[in-house]
Amino acid sequence: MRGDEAAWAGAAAVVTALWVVAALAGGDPAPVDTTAVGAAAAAGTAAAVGAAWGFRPPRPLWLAGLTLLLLPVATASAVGGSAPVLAVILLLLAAGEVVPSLSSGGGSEDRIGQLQGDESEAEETGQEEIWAQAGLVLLAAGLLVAAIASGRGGNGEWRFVADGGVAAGFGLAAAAVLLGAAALGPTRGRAYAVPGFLVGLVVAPGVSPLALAIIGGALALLSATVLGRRPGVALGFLGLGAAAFSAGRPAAALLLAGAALALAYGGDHPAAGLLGLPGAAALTMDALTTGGGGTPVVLVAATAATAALLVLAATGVTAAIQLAPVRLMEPGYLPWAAVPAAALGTWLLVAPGTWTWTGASGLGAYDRGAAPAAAVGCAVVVLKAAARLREPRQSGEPALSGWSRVTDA
Amino acid sequence: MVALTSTGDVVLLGVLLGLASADLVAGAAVVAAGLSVAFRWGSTSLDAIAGAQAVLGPGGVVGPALATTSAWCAAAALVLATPRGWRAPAFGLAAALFVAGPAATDGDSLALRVAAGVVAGGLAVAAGRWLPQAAARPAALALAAIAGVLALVA
Repeated sequence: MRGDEAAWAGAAAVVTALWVVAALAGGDPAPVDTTAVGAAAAAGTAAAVGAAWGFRPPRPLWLAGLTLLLLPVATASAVGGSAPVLAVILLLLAAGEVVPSLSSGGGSEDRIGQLQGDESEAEETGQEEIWAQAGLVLLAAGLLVAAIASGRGGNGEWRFVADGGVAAGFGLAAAAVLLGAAALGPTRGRAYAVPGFLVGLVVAPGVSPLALAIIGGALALLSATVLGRRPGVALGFLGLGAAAFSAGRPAAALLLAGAALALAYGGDHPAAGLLGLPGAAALTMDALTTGGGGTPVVLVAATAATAALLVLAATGVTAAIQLAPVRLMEPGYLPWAAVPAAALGTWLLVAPGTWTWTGASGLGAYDRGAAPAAAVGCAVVVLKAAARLREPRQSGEPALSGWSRVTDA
Repeated sequence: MVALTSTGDVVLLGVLLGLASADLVAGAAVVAAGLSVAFRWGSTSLDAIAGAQAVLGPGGVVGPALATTSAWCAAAALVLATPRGWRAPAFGLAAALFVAGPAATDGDSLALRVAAGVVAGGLAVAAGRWLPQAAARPAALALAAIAGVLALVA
């Protein structure tokens, strides 16, 4: 394992442990209780450090990681923000991967198979993608500063208020830009989206729920088709779209959690879209049991349409209108971040009701049904695999071996 | 298992059956049918849907005509969307849950539930085996859409 991969795996383990502790604690624990001030200060500091490293790459990597971790934490604390540990650690993950690759042409290090376009052309554009990603992160930091400043101009305090439309607009723009940065650059930099999610959840109540639902739904549809069939990004926009709808905030948090896990996986495999299932179930329940006018209807319709478009894109139906390339993992390559992401994703799919920090309280029926369904599904898979192993193979027929197929000699 | 015990969430049930169908049109039909049942009963909880049927009566019999028609359309959509093979009974059980799936609180409701499951399971197996899927799946999607509209109107 390379040094940067070790840093990634270690930090991902910390994030996993934090989320596990947070869920088991059953309350509203500090690691995920992020304020706008803290998130803005941490994101801005981390982005500034990362940009500085673009000109003089740090060595050793552990020292670089500590700097990137401690400086944002200290800055966030200094400005009075609550502990945005999760955001900072995930920024570390992103920058720890992106920044060293600025000096080494990281596009070629990103072990993702480009399904569309020439491979050599992809390597040439890799450097441009990285710089574009860094530029977008700086833009997001600027938008967050503007959000904080406009919020202070409106109420004289270093915090967002519910009716602070201008500040909320800046904050949501920053969240969208961070999500765009995550989608644009190397796949390991996709963790940039997570601070955007946190900021979006904080500021969303300041804007019109219906307008945000329409915009978020439209961006999700674009992400599922022309912008490269990216399930994680699409789920992220759906979550942001639901965040302004007061009854839909637990569903938004579930959708954003699914988006974060889908992004952590790295590749744009369509199955990652399943991570939005708990959020979609919560959203449907909200649409049935609460008011809110057309907002929940728009959100449910956008979620269903996004799911359908992701399936269509996966089957190649919408390939003709696709502008951005799809990135899938190379066969046999498993990123280290995928291990905790897969564990958390399974947990999210089977028992979203235990993710109490999201505020979702009506998913008991889902939990009761998902556990036996998962057990039966596992049993079916094992039985089918066992039956297949017992079948005599004919000469030349491919046999399953680990992650990849091999052919008998 | 979810359909058999009527424990879980109707969205989860729809997505699981949609994945089991391994077909885009059939999957969309199954999910839409599940949503129509949620619209009809005002809940995504299968426990709540079964409980309501135990109190009020089977979904395919009681209530306004539009609502009962919606339930039958949703069940028919599930039967038509049934794939060939061992997955077929699950679709039948879900269809039975939509039209006659009261919670088994006494002998009568249990008997009704078992009978509906057997009939719908048999229909689903037959449909998956003998109906041409190229025609059945679009019909399933159309029926599911009708079920959704009727549930919303009712």
